[in-house]
Amino acid sequence: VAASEKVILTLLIDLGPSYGLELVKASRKRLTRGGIYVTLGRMEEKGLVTSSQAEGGRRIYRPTALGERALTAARLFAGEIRVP
Amino acid sequence: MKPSAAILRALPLDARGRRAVEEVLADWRHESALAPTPILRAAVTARAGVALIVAMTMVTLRDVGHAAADGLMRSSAAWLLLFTIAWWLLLTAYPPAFVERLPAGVWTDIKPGWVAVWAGWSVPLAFFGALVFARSRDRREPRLIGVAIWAFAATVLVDGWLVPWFDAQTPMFFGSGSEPEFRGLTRMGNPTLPAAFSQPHWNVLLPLYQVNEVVARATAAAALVLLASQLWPARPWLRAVTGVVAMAAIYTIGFTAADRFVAFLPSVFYERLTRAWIVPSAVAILAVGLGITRRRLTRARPQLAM
Repeated sequence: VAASEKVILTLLIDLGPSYGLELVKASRKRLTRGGIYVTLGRMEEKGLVTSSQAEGGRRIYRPTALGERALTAARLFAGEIRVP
Repeated sequence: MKPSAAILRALPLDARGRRAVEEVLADWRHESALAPTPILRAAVTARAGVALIVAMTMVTLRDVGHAAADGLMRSSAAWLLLFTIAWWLLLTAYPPAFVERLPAGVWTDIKPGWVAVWAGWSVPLAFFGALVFARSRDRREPRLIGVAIWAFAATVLVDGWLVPWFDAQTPMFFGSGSEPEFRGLTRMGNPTLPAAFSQPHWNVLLPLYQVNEVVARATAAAALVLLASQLWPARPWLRAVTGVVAMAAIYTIGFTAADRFVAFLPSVFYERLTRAWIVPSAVAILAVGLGITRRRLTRARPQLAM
């Protein structure tokens, strides 16, 4: 997963189902308002996240099991966590 | 319809790109509704504007990358090769009338230049052909902005650099021999666009004509991609028939309007500048007209069914 995808997956797991804008605000400038939806669209195509339509044309995103596994694998690869 | 929705509909985006832009607009509406003062609302609007530009840039870059990977570039190149072969055969079978007056062997020398000119003319149609004649199994929605940008860039490259360079390799047979800048058949004056600006010339308008003509053709290429996108949902045979008719019409209008081999006259400045835009304008109007008609038919269909 790319760096921005890793940030999004981490935030989605920490915060739970979230809007794109909430992820941008929580990311402390690591994600941008314009770029996040292109990244989220790509992640949805890969099956890393799923979304559902909410009010006002906004969408709520949540991580999939594949997304959670991909994040774990990325963290292992980066040495951020160790195999128990 | 709200202005933002109207603008969004007008953008030549695929479903993925449109969704990204829609979500930015939805955030804009959401934050704007929560902003208590006009100043805060203005700040929200400014942020949303920047976000919209970023989203559009990212969608465009993604589409440019994907368009190359979708195989459309390969089929466009194949179409260009087909056009080049067709022009070669046509000019071999039916050489222009002036050839009879040329010394023996000269036509063989200058024929590649002629073929290059007409092949260059066909670059926009090569992209159009690749889209409208795509096989059924390839009928994934094309990344329109990406294909349009590739078509624009390829036309600028071929018509702005390759064709004049290739053409400049052939000796000059038209015009006065005392003006060595006028080498070749395209009458573009200089082989490349940068050279057209950097070299002193007896007529400062020539680079302008050259740039105008190349940009007009590149715009025609992008407009043809939009036209092909309007034909995309149609059945394959209908797309093919419409594609053939459109190609014949575009070639005919182009031949009539472009005035490629008519002697260059500075007195027809505005006429020459505007004539280059006949094909791109006609194609763009056709694409927009087709889009509006399709939308009306789609809206009327549920009513007819009732």
